[in-house]
Amino acid sequence: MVNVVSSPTSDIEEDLLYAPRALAEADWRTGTLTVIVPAYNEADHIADTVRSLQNQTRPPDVIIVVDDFSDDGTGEIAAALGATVLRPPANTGSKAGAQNFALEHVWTAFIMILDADTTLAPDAIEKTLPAFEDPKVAAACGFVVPRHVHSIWERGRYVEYLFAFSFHKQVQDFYGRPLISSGCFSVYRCGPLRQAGGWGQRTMAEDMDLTWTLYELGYRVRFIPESVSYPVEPHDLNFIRKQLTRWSHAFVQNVRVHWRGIVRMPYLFSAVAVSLSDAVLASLVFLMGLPLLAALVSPLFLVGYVVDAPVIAVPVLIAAARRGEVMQALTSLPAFFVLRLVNGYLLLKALVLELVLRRPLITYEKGH
Amino acid sequence: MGAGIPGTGMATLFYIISVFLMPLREIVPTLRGQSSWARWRLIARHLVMALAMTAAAYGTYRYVADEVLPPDTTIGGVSALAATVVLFVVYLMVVNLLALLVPGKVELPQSKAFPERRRAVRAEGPAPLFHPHRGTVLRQWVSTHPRVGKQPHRGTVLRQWVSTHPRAGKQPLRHERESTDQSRVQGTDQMAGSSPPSRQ
Repeated sequence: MVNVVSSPTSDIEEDLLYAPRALAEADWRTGTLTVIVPAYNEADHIADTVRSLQNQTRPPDVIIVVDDFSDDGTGEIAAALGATVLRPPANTGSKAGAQNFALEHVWTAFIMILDADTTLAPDAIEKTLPAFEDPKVAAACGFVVPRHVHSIWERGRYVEYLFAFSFHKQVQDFYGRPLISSGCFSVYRCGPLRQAGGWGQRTMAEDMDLTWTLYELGYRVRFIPESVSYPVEPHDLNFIRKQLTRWSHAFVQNVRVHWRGIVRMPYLFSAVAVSLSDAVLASLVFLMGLPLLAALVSPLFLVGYVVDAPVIAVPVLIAAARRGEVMQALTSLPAFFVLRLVNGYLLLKALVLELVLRRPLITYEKGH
Repeated sequence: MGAGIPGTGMATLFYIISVFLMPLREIVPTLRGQSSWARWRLIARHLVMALAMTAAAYGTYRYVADEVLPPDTTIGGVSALAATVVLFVVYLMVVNLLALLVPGKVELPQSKAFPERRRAVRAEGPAPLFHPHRGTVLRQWVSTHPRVGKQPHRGTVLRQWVSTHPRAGKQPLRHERESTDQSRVQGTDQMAGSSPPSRQ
């Protein structure tokens, strides 16, 4: 049973539920676009998100907010702003579940996923859609910058994103293998998305699972750095721990699920192998090697925690200069090394739990 | 989401090497007329960035080596920095060569490789990382895994990792399962002589 709380037009419900449309090969210039916003208790952010969609230079044709059994009025706020609100009969249990629930009601050629706490730059959709000029492109994602940069964790994430999206991700895109089409903001061609079976619920990261599945199906994924989104990032240790725990387990789970599929994609395979090796070696160095060396040999070995600061600073400051945020980047740089240490610990723990103790994470905990 | 630990040595080295290989990779598309100025501008921008990062790494290495490491640290007769890069490239080559040994048949995993998850545990109030009265951090961590040391022997870690989940590729997706169950129920009803469901 579908509970359509609100629809902006009288026939949209019928369109959503029954209209058969051509899906797969639509041209991005003429193709229609549905935005799916999975939301659970996002009353504080959903209005900003819906408004940022409505103010796009290329506005979406349908905005669906999946009110995943919220109890804070999220659905009512979205409905009041004119979005179509779908409410499943029960909490779907994960973001992927909410997105799959909405996918059954989408008839447009393109689908965009936007987190309920994420806003877009006004031209984000306009700049993303041309990526679909190539008919083999099944997904495209953009640059991500934290909306709030106040706490140590938000600052660490800010530096991490500037570094990753201005360097790693662009190199991955050059080689045709972005590691992930980000779950907070991505556009998909509907046909390949359905062919992939929607968003998988077998791992804790539906975005990585879908990206690698699309590769295995022979499609391409693009990263568009000019298209910018602004999510709300975890602001305290409790939330960042939940998020990083989920991400770490999800990475290992996806490697387990997909390793046979990605082994024939040399660049992606190399990137994953390097990430996994780094996860083990760097974590051990950070958590055991450096403290032992500092205690037994020389305290100067503690410099090892920040020894690569100049290297990290290069792409971060270049990206920050383009955004006019050099001071913010400089003051945030130390937080990155704290976040990296926490990340290393949680990733090593996830590796041990998933691969050695065989205790996979199976509960989706919302971290933001 | 992110993968791995951003900004650590091996990953950064991997992407710097990738940048230095960009021009080589772009030569063939350029000769075929499939490249563009935009792509070469991107290559140039990343080359500048990678060169700056390499210079920063070298400068830091020289400074830190002078301060922390014994002078003239070498591995196998060459400088530690060069040896690190060479070892890393060898590592990448070995990993990719090993990948070629994997059987070519690739089957997409179509089923849940992990158990059905429980209802979502949503954002709650802050909870302590570790309870203050449950012993050391290590003890608490180990104690959260009651199966430690009690599992029957299941082969090496590598073998466990390599072996796919026994249910992979066999379980239908949820919606397939539901439709199968529904059709089974309808089929059973019809076989039992009950009237088919009427549209109302």
